[in-house]
Amino acid sequence: MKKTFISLALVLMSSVALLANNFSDILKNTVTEFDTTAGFEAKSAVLQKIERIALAEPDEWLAQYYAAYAYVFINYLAENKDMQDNLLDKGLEYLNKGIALNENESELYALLALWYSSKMGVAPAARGAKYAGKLNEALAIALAKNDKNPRTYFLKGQFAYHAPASFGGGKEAALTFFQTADELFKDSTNTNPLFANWGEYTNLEMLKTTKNELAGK
Amino acid sequence: MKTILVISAILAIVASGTAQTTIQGSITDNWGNSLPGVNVFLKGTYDGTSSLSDGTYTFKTNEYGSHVIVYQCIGFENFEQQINLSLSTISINVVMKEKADKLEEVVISAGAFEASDKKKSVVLKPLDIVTTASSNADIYGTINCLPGASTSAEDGRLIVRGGEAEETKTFIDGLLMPVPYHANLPETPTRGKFLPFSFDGMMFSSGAYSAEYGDALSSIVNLNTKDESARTETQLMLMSVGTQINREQKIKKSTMTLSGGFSHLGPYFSLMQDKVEWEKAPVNANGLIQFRTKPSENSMLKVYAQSNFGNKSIIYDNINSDNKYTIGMKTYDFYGGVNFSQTMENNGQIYAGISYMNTYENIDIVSINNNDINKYFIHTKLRYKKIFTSRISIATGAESKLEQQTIKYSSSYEKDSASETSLNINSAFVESRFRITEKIASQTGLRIESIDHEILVLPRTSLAWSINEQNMFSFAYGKYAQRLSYPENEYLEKSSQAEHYVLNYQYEKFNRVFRIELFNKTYSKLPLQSNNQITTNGDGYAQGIDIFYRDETTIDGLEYWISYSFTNTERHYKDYEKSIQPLFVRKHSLSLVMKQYISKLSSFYGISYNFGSGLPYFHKSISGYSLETTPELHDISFNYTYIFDFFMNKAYLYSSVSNVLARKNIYGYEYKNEPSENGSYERRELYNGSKPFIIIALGVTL
Repeated sequence: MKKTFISLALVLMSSVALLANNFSDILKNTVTEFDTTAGFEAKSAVLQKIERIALAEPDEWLAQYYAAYAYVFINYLAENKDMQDNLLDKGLEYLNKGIALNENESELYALLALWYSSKMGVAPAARGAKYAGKLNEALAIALAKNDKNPRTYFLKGQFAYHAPASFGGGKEAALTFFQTADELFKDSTNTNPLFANWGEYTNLEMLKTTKNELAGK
Repeated sequence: MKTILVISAILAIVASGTAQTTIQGSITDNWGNSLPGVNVFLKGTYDGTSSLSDGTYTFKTNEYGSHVIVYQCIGFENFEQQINLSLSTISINVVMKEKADKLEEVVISAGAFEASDKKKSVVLKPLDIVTTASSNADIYGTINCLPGASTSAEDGRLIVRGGEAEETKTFIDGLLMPVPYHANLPETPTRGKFLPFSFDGMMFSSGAYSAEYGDALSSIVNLNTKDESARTETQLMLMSVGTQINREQKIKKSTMTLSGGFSHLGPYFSLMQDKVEWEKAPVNANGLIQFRTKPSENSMLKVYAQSNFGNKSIIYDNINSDNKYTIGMKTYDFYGGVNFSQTMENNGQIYAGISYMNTYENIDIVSINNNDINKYFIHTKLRYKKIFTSRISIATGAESKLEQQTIKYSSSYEKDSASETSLNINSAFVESRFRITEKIASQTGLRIESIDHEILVLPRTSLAWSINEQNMFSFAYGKYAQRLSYPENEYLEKSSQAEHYVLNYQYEKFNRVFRIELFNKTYSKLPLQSNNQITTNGDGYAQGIDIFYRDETTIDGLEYWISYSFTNTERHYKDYEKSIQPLFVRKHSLSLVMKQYISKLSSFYGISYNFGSGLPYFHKSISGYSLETTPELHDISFNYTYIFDFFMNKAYLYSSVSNVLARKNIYGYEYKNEPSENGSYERRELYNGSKPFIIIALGVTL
């Protein structure tokens, strides 16, 4: 009797364990799947998985963050400008939900800055003036909420690298930002609530490129 | 026995844990196409899938009982349905409805060029105003380089498809701006009154425009004011010819722009001797206020007001007199427009606006006569639009235009006189936009105008067929009417009319556009002078072809466009004794515009080449008058802008040179009244100076 009881309990526990995957793990796995999927259609299908999680968990800011993240990162693969705008606008809905849930999270504002830069990228000549200011505002808020977020410095570096000096840019300024970002990325004690780290690899690339260009001058 | 029970119990538990329902089906849109990429899921769960390229979907779920299944796709209305999950396979086929505002995205390009942030088409961009070399930062200078507008450097106003400058009307945010050009003295070109950064969008219709607009026989230009300022800042511009200061101010949900400026061409002309002898070189002062606010999330109130003051005086030489005349011109005007628009939840949009303009002009021919002209204009407009579905929308509106003019004439040789004229046009329109099939859309409407006792019924229609994303054919037809004045400042008793037919093909791919357009216009009831009487028996026609190609991809950072217009037109009107090509129309017009941003040098440069075949003129000889053609017009302009840091502030240095070739572009001749000894008539060339015109400006943002 005792044996049966124990085995029954074990089976029940394991089946419950099989069924009960936690939200955080599922989200993490799906985001990794998104990052590693290539091609617009296939990537869209994974984006929609993340979106389903975000819609099913309206109180989880992290889910809203990653739905927005997926929309921003897939927009670069869209085949025309109208589609880019549509994807970015949809992503903003989730980003705003995230900010409403957790207005002190710097990652949300760093992603917002990336969103502005992507929106600008769709029609740079027409939108440059309008979004450059908003991009810098978002980065300023991100910095204020957490001055150790490497992504904030990475984006500041990107902006400085591409903008002419008279708009607050320049390669020297960019280099400083990329270096700070790199140190923060590598600092293992620098905790952040996210399990994935976008920007680290690109930051390293930009750091190398900027160093070479400034040395070559 | 017990073991079997236990095992079956375990199996039962495990089985219930993996019991699944399959949900499947296919999804199409309201046109019957399969829809891939639709997110299908059970509300509140993670269970779902994306539909495949053939529109089918299938997924399994462990959920049980009553649930809601959701279908979601960008550009479409969400679809939801209550279902009951009970282990047997569920099949649901869904038709998703396009979002209603998809209708607004349909572009019917026949006869129209549009530049705005929302329309990401490459054809025309708001920045073009400032970057087009020959435009001298004048909106009309840029439009002059587009197909449909024939090169008119001698005039400065828009001459569209054989129509006079008065036949093109300008609107700001849908409200009439009656006098958009500065007043000009003989043999000096004019330009638009607008500051280039006031607007972020523009629509130029070279023919067959919508039923919403009227009283323009040839074309319309609608300028959209900026929705908001990017940030609070002050801009100072120091130019070789004057100064302009601009302040953009953000106040909570509103933005305000204040601008004031002053220009004095005296110092410039004393350095660069101009052909015209100035007694008082042109002095001009301007002021501008723009205000926009959003009373609610979906509504916008915009105010635009500008004022100009000008004073200039020339010493005019007429070939037929021994004396020179001094002609002075003082002008003052004020324009104000207010408009309110709101989008309601049920996809209805309302618009209400009113504009007012007062212009004052005093033309004084010293010791001869003096003309004092005062004009008032009021335009009120209401419009309601309802987008029913992504297939059909209806717009309707009513407007009233009132114009009043007082002229006081005093002379040293004749009796003083005064005259007053007024004109009141009331109109209403109804227009529907609908999609016949997924690829064919139409905009059809009717406009009714009432002027004094005259009632005009003006139908308009256009049709666009998108063969695919890159290729589109469109067609437009309309009846247009305008009360013209002849002689100047005297309105005719009847409206002149025109019928436009336009056929257009456009190809657009990867930032390259190719456009070809054919047009045919017939005019009737034009003013005609015969036997010293003025009737409306004049008529005419205009036919032609416009070709346009724009590229911003092939060479990195380089944008260029080529525009060619051919206009074959004749009119028998005004003081023409028979049907001839009007003296202000060029048969061939060509514009080549190029601009490039060089990031290494932090600079922009632009080059424009404008060509026009000669203008017709009446050559006077002993045997009478014969119709000849002036020499061709060639104009090359160049501009260069350097962006730099000025003590931590954004600054730019702008320079532009027009008529780089220093060519004498002759647009006509003035003949002596009496022949000389050898029997021919002496004549004087009419041209706008042959020296290059240079502007240098330094702009700083503080």
